[in-house]
Amino acid sequence: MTEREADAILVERVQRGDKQAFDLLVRKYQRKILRLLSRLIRDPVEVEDVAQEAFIKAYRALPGFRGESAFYTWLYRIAVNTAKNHLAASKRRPSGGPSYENEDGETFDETANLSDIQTPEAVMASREIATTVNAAIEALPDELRTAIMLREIEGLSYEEIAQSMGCPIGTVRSRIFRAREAIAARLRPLLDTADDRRW
Amino acid sequence: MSAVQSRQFSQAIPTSELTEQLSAFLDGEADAPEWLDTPQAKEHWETYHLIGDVLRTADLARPVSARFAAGLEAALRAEPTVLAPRSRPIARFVRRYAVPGVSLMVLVVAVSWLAQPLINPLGPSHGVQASVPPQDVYAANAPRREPEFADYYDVHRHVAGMSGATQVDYAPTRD
Repeated sequence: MTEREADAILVERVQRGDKQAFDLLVRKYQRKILRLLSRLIRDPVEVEDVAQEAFIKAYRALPGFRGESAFYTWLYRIAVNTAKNHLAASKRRPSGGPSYENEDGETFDETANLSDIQTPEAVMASREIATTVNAAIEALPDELRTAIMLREIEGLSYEEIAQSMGCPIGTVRSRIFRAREAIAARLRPLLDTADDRRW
Repeated sequence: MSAVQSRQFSQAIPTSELTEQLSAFLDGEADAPEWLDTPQAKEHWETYHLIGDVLRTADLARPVSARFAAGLEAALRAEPTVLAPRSRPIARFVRRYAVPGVSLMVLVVAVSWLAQPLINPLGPSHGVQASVPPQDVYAANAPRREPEFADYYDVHRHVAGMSGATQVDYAPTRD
């Protein structure tokens, strides 16, 4: 099952009336959408408002989503169009770069530096998160670090990782999980993970 | 997160086997776990995705503000639950392939039938006639004049004139 197929499972659940499944999609893609919009709109508060509007539009339009494209590509277009409408309504030009018209969310420039429109507090928090994740990765045993890097950086399947590391798929699954949990344990104190934060 | 919240989360944490299934589901390597809709699953889900995002690019190491989370939560709560019409695989196949296929076939047949006079204005037997020796063409195309229809042909030719008669019986006769 690919990531696209995993998203399709959540989309189908939303289409059957499971609003909670949409929450999972939001949690998965909210950072990407916020980053995308922060390149088009300067005001961080407006970025959040437009992101919220885009997610709501996506939720309303989801019954008509047939899966011809990946969910994120579809969501990406909704977000860009929402930003365009927002800017047109306020008669401003987007602050985005040359990738503004890029409809393929997967090829969006992933290597750009943090946008300078973030607040100083947000920049500090971002640095702290990045530092914590990197430190946690460095502290992992080799087999856990290799497994999660092959998965997250190289995008290999469990089967491919198993072949690469010469171990069973079940071991790969366990190693990736343990790596994630080890990093998450260091990360959680930095995050607002109160259970009542979401609906 | 406060210490109290951390403790509450730890107490509510599901077994590692279930969490491992969530981790594998996130990678598209397992079915969705039963507890996917719980706050604990969502916390794991979000944290795991944050880890992956940060590993791929530090640009995504951005925390999501409480304002954004609360605003979106309230907005979605206010939304009526969406429901898509159920689409069964067979119905989906019929809609996507069978209907357009049958429509195309009907169109091709209809166009072929309508274009037949233009493609072969002399009729379906014309091609056969081309290979027949000239002296036999008249014989081949000679109307099969049944004796009992002779009067009918004559009357028809008289009423319709030669052009009309030619349409009915285009081949010249020998009589």
